[in-house]
Amino acid sequence: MARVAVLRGGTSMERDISFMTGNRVQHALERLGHEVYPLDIEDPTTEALMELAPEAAFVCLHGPGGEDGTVQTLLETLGIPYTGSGPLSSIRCMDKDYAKRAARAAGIPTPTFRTFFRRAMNEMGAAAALTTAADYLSYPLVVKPAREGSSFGLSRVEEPDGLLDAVYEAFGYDAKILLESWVDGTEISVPILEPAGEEPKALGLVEIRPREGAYNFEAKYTPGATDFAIPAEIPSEAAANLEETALRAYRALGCSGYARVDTIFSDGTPWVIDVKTIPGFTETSTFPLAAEAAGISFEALVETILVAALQTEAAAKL
Amino acid sequence: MPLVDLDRFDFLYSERVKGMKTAATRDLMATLSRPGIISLAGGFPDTRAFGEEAFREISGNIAADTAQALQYGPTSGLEPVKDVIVEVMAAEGTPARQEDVFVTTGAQQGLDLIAKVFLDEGDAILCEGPTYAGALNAFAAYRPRIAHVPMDRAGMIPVAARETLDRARKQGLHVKFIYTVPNFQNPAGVTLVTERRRELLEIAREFDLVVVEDNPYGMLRFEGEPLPTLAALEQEQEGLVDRVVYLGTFSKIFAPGVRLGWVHAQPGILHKINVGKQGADLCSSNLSQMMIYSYFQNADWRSYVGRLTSIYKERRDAMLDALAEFMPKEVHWTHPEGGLFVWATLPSYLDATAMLPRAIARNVAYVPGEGFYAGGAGKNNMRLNFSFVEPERIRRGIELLSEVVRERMELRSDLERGSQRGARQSPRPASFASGTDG
Repeated sequence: MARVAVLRGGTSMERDISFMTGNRVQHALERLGHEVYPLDIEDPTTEALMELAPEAAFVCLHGPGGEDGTVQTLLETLGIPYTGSGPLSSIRCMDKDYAKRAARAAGIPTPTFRTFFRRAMNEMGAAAALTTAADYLSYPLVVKPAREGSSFGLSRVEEPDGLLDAVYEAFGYDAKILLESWVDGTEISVPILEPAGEEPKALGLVEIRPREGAYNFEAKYTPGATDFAIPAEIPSEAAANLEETALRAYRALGCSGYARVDTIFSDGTPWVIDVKTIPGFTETSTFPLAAEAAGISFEALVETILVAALQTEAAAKL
Repeated sequence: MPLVDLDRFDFLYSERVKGMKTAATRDLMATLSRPGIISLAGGFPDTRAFGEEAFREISGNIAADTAQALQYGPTSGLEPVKDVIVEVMAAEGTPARQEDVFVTTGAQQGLDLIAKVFLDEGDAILCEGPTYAGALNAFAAYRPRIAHVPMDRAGMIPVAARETLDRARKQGLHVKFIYTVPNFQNPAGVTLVTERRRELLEIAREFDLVVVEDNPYGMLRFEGEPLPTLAALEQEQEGLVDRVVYLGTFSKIFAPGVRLGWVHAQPGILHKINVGKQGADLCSSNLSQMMIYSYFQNADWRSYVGRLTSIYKERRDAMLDALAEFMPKEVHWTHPEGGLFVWATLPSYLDATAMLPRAIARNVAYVPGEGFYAGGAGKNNMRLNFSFVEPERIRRGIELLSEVVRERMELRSDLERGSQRGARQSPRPASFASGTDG
């Protein structure tokens, strides 16, 4: 039995989801018999961690600040083992620009994209190059902030008329944005679990079927707004290929412990869109649902992730 | 293959409830609990001003009559509470009789009961544009058509109200009532001038409508002379209570926690409201009502209201000063003489709803204007509350908010400038689609 700090809250847009994830993880850890200390992220957090000196920290934070290496580097400094990915892997996955470049370098299919900085718009008149980027990618395309966990600031653009509005919207959430080719296909998430001393494995495929329109923030966290199919309804050969691609992305980005790879499956190709190093663990989240479908209870899932964090003989996280 | 359907009773829900989606904004509001955030989003009076000692005294008085406090009461309310209401209305210059008063569970229940009593599906009502979002919510369950009448700094514009009613009549719509918040309106902070109050009554007579006068903030006046309520004007003109249905509340002069308000109207209407309330909750809480009369009979409630008013005035001044100091000149706002809210108008291309997450990320929150209209207007507006936050924090909040607005305006101009240059190189230049955006 271990003394475990559960880190939750934070100041990202996903603060509430973090509390839901955190509470659920806390209760699971308690049922497993661990000594659990929930800690909200605030000014005295570091001091509290130093005083508590837990055997491990279970990081239940989503979005910037908690999922981008910030808290991970701090825990590294304090010498507290923590769940999930290391700092470099975290920032790579949080920043879709980095993630896509790393994936592309590893030969993993990811939709073509172009990156713009707010600074370039202001200091270099970079808006003049938006059309160049859009023409290269061709319409329809997606505009999104580089570092935003949920679907905030994301829009699909059908024609030149909507481009500037979408760019304007995305810059509301980050100083770096992506224009990305639109891929038509089935949205499939791949939850990946890496138990201590084992190779990472996919826990099956989750097909996401929004009831209406896109899978946005509201749909993601409102029961009933989305349907999931577990496993996804695709041919078994394609499924194997998709799992393999997701695992390659997991390794290429240097993830540890667990992660969720989001893809769009189109004409036999699994396009990697996003990798979440700390996917939601709420009642309606795909990761725990998929684990359950794979015969792993929520407690077992939480225990596996914790044991991987406590594994002292493992190589340092990226 | 298991298809995980997360809301398995979806097929059983009523159409009415299915139609009522929680706004994404509301989900964002949940993030307001985060540490350090300056929320100008609430509509809360500052109950911290009341104090434990006064509360203890009230509780002690009630304990003397425990059996009644724990019992059901009459549907229309306890008589001593009605006497308190008569006194409060008189203090605001509205003559009232005990038998014309009906106690409700907050004025919010009054809104629901009035809608229940008057509205069939498809009936029309007139409201100010913008109007109180909670009224729109209460009315929505009865599925009326809502026409917003524009306002200026003197309140709802009577000519526009008349035009809207003429048009509705031609379309064969059955308009049932005019809903107005005449004093320091929520959300606009505007007050309906006396002359227009008379005109509104005239229009109501001409079209044979009821006027619903919702007056939660009337006593929270910081400056200027109190104006006669529509209920008072009607009695002055006709010698009796007729078509004005007046809603009052203890929420802003005492505390919202007791959930007590009232309807003042003529007996026929009250009879129907009585029927509606029996189905809703039988009666309002005796315990709360006894708190009210214990407090209003024994304490100096007027000086408490005076204390609240001076707290809010200081905060309003802080907000208006900060707006003038920090906001870009393209932003405009109202100057309320009382109440809880300032209504700000951004350049037309800014979308206050889309801007909210950005503001929250910077630790300041407001309510986007959209929710105060039934049909999508108000995108470039925001409601700013000054009653609940201390003056220094209001100032800091407005400073942060101004930065967010300024950044959005600068980005817009950077994008526009750049894309116009790009247009020289490309046959398909990018441009703003017009209208509004975030």
